[in-house]
Amino acid sequence: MKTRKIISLLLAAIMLMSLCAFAVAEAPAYSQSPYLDGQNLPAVADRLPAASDVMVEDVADIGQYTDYITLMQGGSSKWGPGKPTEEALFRFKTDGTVEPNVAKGYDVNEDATVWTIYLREGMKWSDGVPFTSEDCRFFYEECLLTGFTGKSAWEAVKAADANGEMQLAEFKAIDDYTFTMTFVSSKPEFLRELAINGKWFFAPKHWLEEHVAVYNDANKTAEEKDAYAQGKGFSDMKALGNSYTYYYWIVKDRPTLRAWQIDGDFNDEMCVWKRNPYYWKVDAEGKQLPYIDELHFRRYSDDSQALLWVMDGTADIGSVALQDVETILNSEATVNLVEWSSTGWTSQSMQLNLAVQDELKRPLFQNVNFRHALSVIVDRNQIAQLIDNGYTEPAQSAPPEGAQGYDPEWTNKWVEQDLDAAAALLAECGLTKGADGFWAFADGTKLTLNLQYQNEADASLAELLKNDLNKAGIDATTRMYDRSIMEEMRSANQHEIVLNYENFDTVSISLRPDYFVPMRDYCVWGSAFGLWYLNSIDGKAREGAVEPPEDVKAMLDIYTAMKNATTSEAKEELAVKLLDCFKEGIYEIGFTSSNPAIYAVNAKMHNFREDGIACDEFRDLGLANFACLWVEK
Amino acid sequence: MGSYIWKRVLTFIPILLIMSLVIFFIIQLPPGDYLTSYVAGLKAEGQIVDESEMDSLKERYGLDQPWFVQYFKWMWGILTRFDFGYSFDYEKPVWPVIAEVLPMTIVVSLATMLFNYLVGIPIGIYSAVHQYSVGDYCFTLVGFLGMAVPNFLFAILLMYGTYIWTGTAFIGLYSNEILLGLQQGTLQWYDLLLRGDFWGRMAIPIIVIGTSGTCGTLRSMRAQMLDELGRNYVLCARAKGVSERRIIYKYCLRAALNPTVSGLSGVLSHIFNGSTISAIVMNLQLVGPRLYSALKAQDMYLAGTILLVMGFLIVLGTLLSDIMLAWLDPRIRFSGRRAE
Repeated sequence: MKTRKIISLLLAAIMLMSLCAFAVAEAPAYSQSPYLDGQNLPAVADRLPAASDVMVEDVADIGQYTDYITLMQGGSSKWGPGKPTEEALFRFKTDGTVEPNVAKGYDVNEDATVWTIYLREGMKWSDGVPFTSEDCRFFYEECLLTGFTGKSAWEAVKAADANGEMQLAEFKAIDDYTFTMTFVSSKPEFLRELAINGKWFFAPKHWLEEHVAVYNDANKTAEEKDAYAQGKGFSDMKALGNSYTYYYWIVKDRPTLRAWQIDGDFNDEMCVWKRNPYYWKVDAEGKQLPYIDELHFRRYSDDSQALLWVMDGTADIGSVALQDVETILNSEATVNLVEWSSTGWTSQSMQLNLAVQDELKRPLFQNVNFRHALSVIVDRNQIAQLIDNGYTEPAQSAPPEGAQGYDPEWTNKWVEQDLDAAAALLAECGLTKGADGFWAFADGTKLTLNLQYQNEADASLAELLKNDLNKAGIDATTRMYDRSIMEEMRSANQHEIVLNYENFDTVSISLRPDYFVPMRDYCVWGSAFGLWYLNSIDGKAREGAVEPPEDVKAMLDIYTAMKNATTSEAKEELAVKLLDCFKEGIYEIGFTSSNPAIYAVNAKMHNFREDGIACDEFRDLGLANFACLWVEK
Repeated sequence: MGSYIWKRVLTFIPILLIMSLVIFFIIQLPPGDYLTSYVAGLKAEGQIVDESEMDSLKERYGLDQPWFVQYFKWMWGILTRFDFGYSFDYEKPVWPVIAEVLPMTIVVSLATMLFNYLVGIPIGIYSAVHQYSVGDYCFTLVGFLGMAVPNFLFAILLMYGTYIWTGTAFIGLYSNEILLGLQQGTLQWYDLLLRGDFWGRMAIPIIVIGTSGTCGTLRSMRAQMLDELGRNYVLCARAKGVSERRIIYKYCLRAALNPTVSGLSGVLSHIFNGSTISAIVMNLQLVGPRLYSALKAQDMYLAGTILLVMGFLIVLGTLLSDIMLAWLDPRIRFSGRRAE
């Protein structure tokens, strides 16, 4: 009996030991970069989210830790380092759908009015403080809705009620890692809209609450609040809020969920970003990401410097202009040129301001036959060869292959040069050819088209167009304007025909209609129509509003219906209708197909994707997923 | 002399006030304002700014007020609190934005000035004394080339040259190692003055920015020296047996330096500003490029402050050069006394 007892105990002990051994073998073996060794941090497993919630990136080549890479930063745009380091709640995939990123997942009810978002348990800010749904509530209710961010509440968090009025969604925290967003009506595109304009939906409450409390303090005067902000180095409280909650990635010491945190001044000649020890992603082998310890952003003031840095190997990744490709290929630069497609509709374009102030030109520009005539006057082969160096081909401005609305017929619409057809169309528009060989209005006023552009690089396009127009008997002038002057002209409706100014480019017209449809004063081809549309909604009397022609009104009706649509299918159906309007009216005359984005990438760099799509919605270079990049030693 | 200087200093006040008004007015002249430029930039990046945001930004930047109200607020801040306002673009008070780049601007400017005078004056004297010699022709040729070749082109050629010869393009003043040191605080800007790799990179701006000035100094020095060498007092001195060395360096050089010293009135301003276009081409983070970008973006308080300081330094430099001229040239001192 005793022997049996001993044997049983031994067996139990063996089983327990084997269970322990099994458990040890099954526990994820996480590892960290040597960069973090000796920094007195908790164990890597304790810094990551719970094992079931750690995000495992699907990395093509499991990497080695890399000390640093050098990137380039030109101008004062904060998005240069912003996009490659961005971590959104949900991120875009190249097929236009979104996937969880900071969030672990989501649920949605049947009518898409209640969205439940799940966060990652145990996930932490870069200072080790837990990241919870309270950080999301704090951002939404205390930063975004109070105006602390300096931005209006995004369309993503609004839905139309029964009266067509936009109402804000209601936030409710279920627990530390779950919250819901409830809309007054169906919001089928919530996640995609959030991935576009609400890229981050969280803020470190523990770090920000002191500042937000001052901002929201009803007992403090505006002067007292500004004085508080000035004590922190800002001009006023709004600047502080905007910096801490919108352009937050360039604020040193502000806790982040990004893979790197800025360590210095954004305007420094070299700005260093150091790895976040609490980053919440690993590779399949359990190595904590990112592979790269530091990002070094070198500041340049002229494009030629960026090109030289690519050539001499200073920069590990750099965007390359089409005209510089040959120079790089002929140099000894040890880089791979990676070509990403783009969602742009065209690489060279012309937009006529259909609301132009000139009373003679306005009806002419609104006449689709006139736009047709202009389109067939142009020799597109010449533009493709001389300006785009043969990287593009003659095409109309139309959605590119693979994009929503792609239609070969549209791409080739009015593309062939045909001066006889153009002459017939111009005559149909009521123009007459004068004795000097130039077209004039019925009252004898000579037609002169003013081609306006803002980039020096577009001077060649302007000259080619002017020559083609002159050959067809249309007088034309060309003039370059500073970007801000052009912007002023657009907002004052003083522009006429603009070249390569806010070319049509979006992954989905239903998600980003701002530059396409004149629903406000953004749209170049009809900014004054946008004011009319806004007036028609809120009854105000904005100065400079111009009533649009019937075809544009029809387009605006479709846009309104699309905005208020309650199902994805209905939205998509209306988006297709909207695209049909553009196909019919050619509101942007394109000359060549959209050009690819070309990146020069260090030949020893791994995991830089070759199937990328360059567009803002996908965060441009950020789509390269920098956390997974590494450089072979 | 003391009362003369005091009077001149008093005239600074109205001059600076008028200057500030003109500067502010001119900055406001182009269509649009900082906001237009800011919004254009945001749009180029795919950002969307709606009407309410525009109104809020206008109010925040004070751009909803007439320009003269903005001007008086700015001047009031300067006169009462020595507050030059905030840079919209850098989102910081103006002075730190300037102070970040001021030390290196002064180093570059002084180095190029020294190069200019140390090379230009001796060669100018040599060319005048050895007029129409082979050396004179060579220096004249180099001088004309230096003046004729645009600085920005010369800078691009030199940067490309360093890439071809060394495999690394010398862009900017700092190597990666120096930049890291500055960033981590292990190096201060004054430590650089003892580093060979810093001066190796400094060679390009010194040559590029210095050359055009050097050529001007050389030609002006040569012309002045030739003018002086042909004067009667030189003939007289030679007749009295004064050594040629003494004639050239003690008498002619002193008189020939007049235009160079008069030119010093702009030197203080130049030291503060640096060379704008060349600095942009060579990626030098100096005050000049900051002024250029501030003007382009209509970042009016930053641009206004830099221009105001430059204006003040020109006024101050003119005074100093007048005093130096009086000291250098006895004719000026004596003509003053004769008038009395």
